[in-house]
Amino acid sequence: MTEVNIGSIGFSGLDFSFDEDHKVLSKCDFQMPMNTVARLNGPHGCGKSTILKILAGMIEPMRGDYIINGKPFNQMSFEELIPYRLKIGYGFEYGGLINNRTIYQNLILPIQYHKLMDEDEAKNHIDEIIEVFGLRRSSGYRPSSVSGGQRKLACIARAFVMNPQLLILDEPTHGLNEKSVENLSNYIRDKMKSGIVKHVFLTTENPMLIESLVKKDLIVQDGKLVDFDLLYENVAGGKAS
Amino acid sequence: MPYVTKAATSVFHQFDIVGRKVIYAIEYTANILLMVYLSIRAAIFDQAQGLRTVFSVVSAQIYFTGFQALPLITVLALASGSIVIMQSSAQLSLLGGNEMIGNLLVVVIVREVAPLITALIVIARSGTAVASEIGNMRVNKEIEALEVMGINPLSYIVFPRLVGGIVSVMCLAFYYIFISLIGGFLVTKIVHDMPFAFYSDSLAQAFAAEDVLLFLLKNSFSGIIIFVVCCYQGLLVQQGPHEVPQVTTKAVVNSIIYVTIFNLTVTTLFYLNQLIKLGIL
Repeated sequence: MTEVNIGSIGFSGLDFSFDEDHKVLSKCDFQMPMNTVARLNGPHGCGKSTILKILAGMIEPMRGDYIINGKPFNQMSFEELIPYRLKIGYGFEYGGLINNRTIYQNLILPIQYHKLMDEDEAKNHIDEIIEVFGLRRSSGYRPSSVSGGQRKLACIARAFVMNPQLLILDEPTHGLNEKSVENLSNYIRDKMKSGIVKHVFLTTENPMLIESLVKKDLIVQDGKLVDFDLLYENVAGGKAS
Repeated sequence: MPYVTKAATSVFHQFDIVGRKVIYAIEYTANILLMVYLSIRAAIFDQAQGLRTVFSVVSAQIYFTGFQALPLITVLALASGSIVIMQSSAQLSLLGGNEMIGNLLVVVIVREVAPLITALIVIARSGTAVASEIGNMRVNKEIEALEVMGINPLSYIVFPRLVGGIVSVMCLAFYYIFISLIGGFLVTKIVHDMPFAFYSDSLAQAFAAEDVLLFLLKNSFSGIIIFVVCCYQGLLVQQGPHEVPQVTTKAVVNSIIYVTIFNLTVTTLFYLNQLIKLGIL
């Protein structure tokens, strides 16, 4: 399988609507700079999660293109998408864990399936992630047997398993305590500093995560993504303009 | 005149309804066939999916669909076997054709009852389970999660269930026939004194090569039909948990309709062929 590096990401004339009266994006053009954490912002029901799903390739736009590395991502077949999907980590707002597998088996699934590492290497990698996210005690249980917070953490942890270059997190702080949010924030910052994660899109209202991580607010407004730089200290160092 | 117009409109309206239902049935069948093709294609072209992954799901499916259904199959096979043996031997002895019992049993049990009853049991036990399991996976975003991890749900979820389903249905049908013919004989021994040698000779003479062909054809396709229809229905869940019981009911109804139509078609074609061979048609 050919390995890809996710570089430029953008929308070109992209349209998406739930129905006639509820347009999410309309002829939207947008280019995402590298090494940026962008938060999708807007009123409830404006389509933030839908945009994240478009970015993850889970749903297709109605018109226009979602472009990665100059190629229309939404026009690729399932097989063509696989190398890109291996570089995308997605944390669901709720659900997303395979219920008949334990948390550990959930985390190791993509590595085992795509044979990305040998068994020992995979085990060490997963152990490290389990340690970072504090999932040691719940790793042997199925999702239905652990708390909502643990499920949420496991789902976010799985987004990091394949060392993604594009990280997409839908409300990652729901049900998490301050310590877990701080851990997550630090882990994302570390991954970005080490050059593994290149783009982060998230939806959150958590002030701690916004202050510590988010550089750009993308406001969903009238079918467009209005780009708004935040003045917090950002992960790439220094302050944004 | 207005009455004529009204009546004509009503007739056309009825035609519309029938037409829509026919088109829906054709579309549905086309989608089912497409899903069989796509899941086999995905399993072949999915370089990542190892045999180990497929095997673990297939073995779980065989355990649940095949092994756990054995008690129910045993009861029904014993009941149907002993009823057919008792009734047929009583009627045949009146006509003086006791040696025909083997032929009768092969025609009734092996060719017709075993494939149909086995399929109905599998639909009731496993078809419902598969449809609701996949429906709940949709609700819990497990299918989306697989896709986003680059795992094709057709090769990871549908294909192993198809393979497991085919193997299970065939093994269960074989078990059903065995229990019906042998167990049924032992049960009837209590009320009907028939020598086993006579019974087994009659059965052995009645079996023909086309019975094996018919057995393989009916049971393998029943397995495919049941599991592809149930997987398809499960994957149709879009909005929420309230859809799961709806798709499960539809999966059962549609599986029964398709399996019955398939069995009936195969039987009809088989007997037409027999009649042509005998020069009657």
